[in-house]
Amino acid sequence: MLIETWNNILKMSKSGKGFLGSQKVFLSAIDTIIRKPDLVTKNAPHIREVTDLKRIMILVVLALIPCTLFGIWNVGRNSYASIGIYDASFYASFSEGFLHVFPLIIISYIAGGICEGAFAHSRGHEIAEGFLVTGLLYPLVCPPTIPWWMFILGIMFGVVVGKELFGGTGMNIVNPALLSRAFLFFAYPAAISGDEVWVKRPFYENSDGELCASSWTTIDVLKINHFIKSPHNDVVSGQTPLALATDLANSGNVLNVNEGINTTYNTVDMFLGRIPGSIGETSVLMCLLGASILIATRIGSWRTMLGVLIGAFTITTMFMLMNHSNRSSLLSVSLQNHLLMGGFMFGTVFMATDPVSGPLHRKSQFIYGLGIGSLCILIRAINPAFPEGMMLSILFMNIFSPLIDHYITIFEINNRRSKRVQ
Amino acid sequence: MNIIKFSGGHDFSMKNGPNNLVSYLGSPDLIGLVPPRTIKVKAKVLIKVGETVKLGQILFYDKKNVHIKFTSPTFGTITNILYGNRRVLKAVEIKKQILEDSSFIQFDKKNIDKISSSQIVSNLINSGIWSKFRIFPGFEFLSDQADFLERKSILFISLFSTEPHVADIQLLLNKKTYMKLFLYGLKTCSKIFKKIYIFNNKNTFPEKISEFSKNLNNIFLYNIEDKYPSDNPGLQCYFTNSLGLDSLNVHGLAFNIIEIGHLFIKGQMMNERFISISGNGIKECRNVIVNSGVSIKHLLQNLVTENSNDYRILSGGILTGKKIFVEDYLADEDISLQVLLEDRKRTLFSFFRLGLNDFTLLKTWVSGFFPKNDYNISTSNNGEERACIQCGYCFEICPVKLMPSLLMKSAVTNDIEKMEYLNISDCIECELCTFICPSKIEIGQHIKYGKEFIKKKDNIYVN
Repeated sequence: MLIETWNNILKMSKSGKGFLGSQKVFLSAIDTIIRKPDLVTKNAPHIREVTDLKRIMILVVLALIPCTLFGIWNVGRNSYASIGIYDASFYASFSEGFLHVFPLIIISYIAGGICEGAFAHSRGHEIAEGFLVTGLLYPLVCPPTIPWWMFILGIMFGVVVGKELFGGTGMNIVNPALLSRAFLFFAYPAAISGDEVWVKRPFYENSDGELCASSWTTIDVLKINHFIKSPHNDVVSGQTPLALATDLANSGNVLNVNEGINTTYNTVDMFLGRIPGSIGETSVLMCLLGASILIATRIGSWRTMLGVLIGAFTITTMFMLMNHSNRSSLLSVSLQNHLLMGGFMFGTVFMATDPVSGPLHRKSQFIYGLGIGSLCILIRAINPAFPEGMMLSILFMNIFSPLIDHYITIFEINNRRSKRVQ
Repeated sequence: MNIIKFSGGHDFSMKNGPNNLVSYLGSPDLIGLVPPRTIKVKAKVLIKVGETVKLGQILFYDKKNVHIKFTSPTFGTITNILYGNRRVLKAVEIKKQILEDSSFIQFDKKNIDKISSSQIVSNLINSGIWSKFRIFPGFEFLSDQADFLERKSILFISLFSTEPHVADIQLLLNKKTYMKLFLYGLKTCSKIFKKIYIFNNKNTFPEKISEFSKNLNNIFLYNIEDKYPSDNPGLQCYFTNSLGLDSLNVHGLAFNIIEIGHLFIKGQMMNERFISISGNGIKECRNVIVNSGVSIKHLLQNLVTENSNDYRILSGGILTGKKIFVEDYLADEDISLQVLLEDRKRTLFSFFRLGLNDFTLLKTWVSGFFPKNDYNISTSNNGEERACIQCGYCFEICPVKLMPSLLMKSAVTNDIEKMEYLNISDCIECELCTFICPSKIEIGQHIKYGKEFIKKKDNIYVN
């Protein structure tokens, strides 16, 4: 009965008349999510692979879920830590984080989905599944304190300028999620860089300079007020390890920058992700979990990931050798710390392996990875303005990937031709 | 002997295949001759309705290439000549009469050593066997006769088939009479072709063939890896380095060689075909020997359903086959008939499943990690068409190392230079790229369109 009604609605929408006809794109998108389309093959081959784009995108989302869940917990944990409570229960931390992160994910899907749907509607083609991934990647690379209006502006810019203007899914030159972040980074630098934005504190400073407990929180108001009013409330710094490293190197107070980093954030914490940072990027462990899913299902390119690691290793070693006497500068940050800090792992696993903005050939994927890894370390170590280099290096290499592909195509064709002529 | 190995391709194994028995199937009274399904023929019909034709008599030929002739598969009276749109010849229907001695067109039956090679070629042309050979690149008819004997021609023959459910010719060669015809045909071919490459997938060759090839110095035996599409002549050309500009790569079915043997031993055309009938839409899958030109309806007597919307009939394998209809007749290139049930099932949340029993070449489902031998055939498209996301799966699976997605893009934009730069003519039309594409793009169709576009432009330039 229900199915029949639904089928009738679809039939009416396909005729293209009236209100239902105008909503054709959305109705058929809902229909194909719920049920497999009833299409059969037209020409040879008469059998087809079971995997479609929906399956691939859903697997990437699956690979992102460990990072998302950990990110939610970590945001809550950081909130509690900022009022001096370090032993908050898992449930309390998770629910606090959920309150802050879940709205962002929903907003990202709705705002971006509207843009995507509007373009699909005006072009008259189906809504592509690629947005499932972009909509989840974007909140994970933003700080938890980002204002919602800014967040919406970012995702709309990413989807419209990064993707739809180039022709939609499959045509974009750069990764839309990263472009959204880059937009925020350059348009509203105060909201996405510095030391204050990485921890969602349950209190804020009002216009008189007094600290007040915020209402959008699950933390007990008494606990917050107790913290605010206590005389020894040294507000815990929300500095990310990267910013810390930059500070240490610029101040020149420490002899060894690696030791300086690791006295504040020990290696285990950085590996597990119990540090301030963007929502989903802090945990290296969860990124590795996601990477294992992507590599096992052959969706993410292991060549790109390996390339990034090798590139990073080469440049770090080179800097170490160049600068072996002075251990206090950024050039001598060890590879281990580079891998654990900031969004290096998250970018390697989820951003660099995006097939659309990345290169096509297996060989060029490796070169592309090398480029990302080495550029990232270069930006981190040499450029004083940007502590984080992953976003910029990936965007930069996105633009170069067609060029790499072009030369690899020539190389492969020449190989083939030499065989052909004998 | 070395085995030719290649990356890409896949070893398909599917359920509902034919059993190994070869049985004879009787033939109905009405026989039909149809032009080839894969190449368009501009037919010049030489007979009229009511005329009596002999077995082996020329019924029509191709106006574009007069050496391509099509001969009657039986002795009888013409009852009907069917035309399609724009007077394209669809079929010539013949009412069969009882065969007598005088009902054959008689060809030379002398010892093969005494016949000149040009005489052999003209016999092949007049008997219509010439029209059964294809050249690569292009999968076209053989060029004209005068040119042929001077060129460096190579004949490619496969003694196996890797596409699922296609009849295995070695079942036929196990029978003594057919093996004798095959060897004689091979001897005939060795006189007109400069080289003959014979391929097998089983590491060894049938003893008689390997013994026979020792006597003739232009027959070469190759072992090739047993996975689809190693029986494709294009792939064999590529891996034997014979894609040079001067050589003429000719592909013949092993059955055509048997026909040639029959023609030169008995002096008459053979009127038998060896095909397999299989698929999930048919109750009993089998390999059969039938009279050439029988109707498809006669062959598919035990269909599972009657409703013609619920099944499709294919000539050829499930990867490269062509759709045909019940009203059709058996064509010369039909080596297998498959009846597949259309799969329009609408599974709920199909992309959320674990996929324990799905046929996949990727690792995105559980069954991708634990591949089984038998899979059910499904004609479902498994999704809607989307834009290319540059996943590169088609690069990995292409057995001749082409770049299918780049070719597809240049074909869509009609960029001839780019297409030729990417060696579009080397595409062997195995359709693996279309099969694996997760965006469900018809890459193979786009590439075929590109080839035709180039051909059209070339013709304009030449004329």
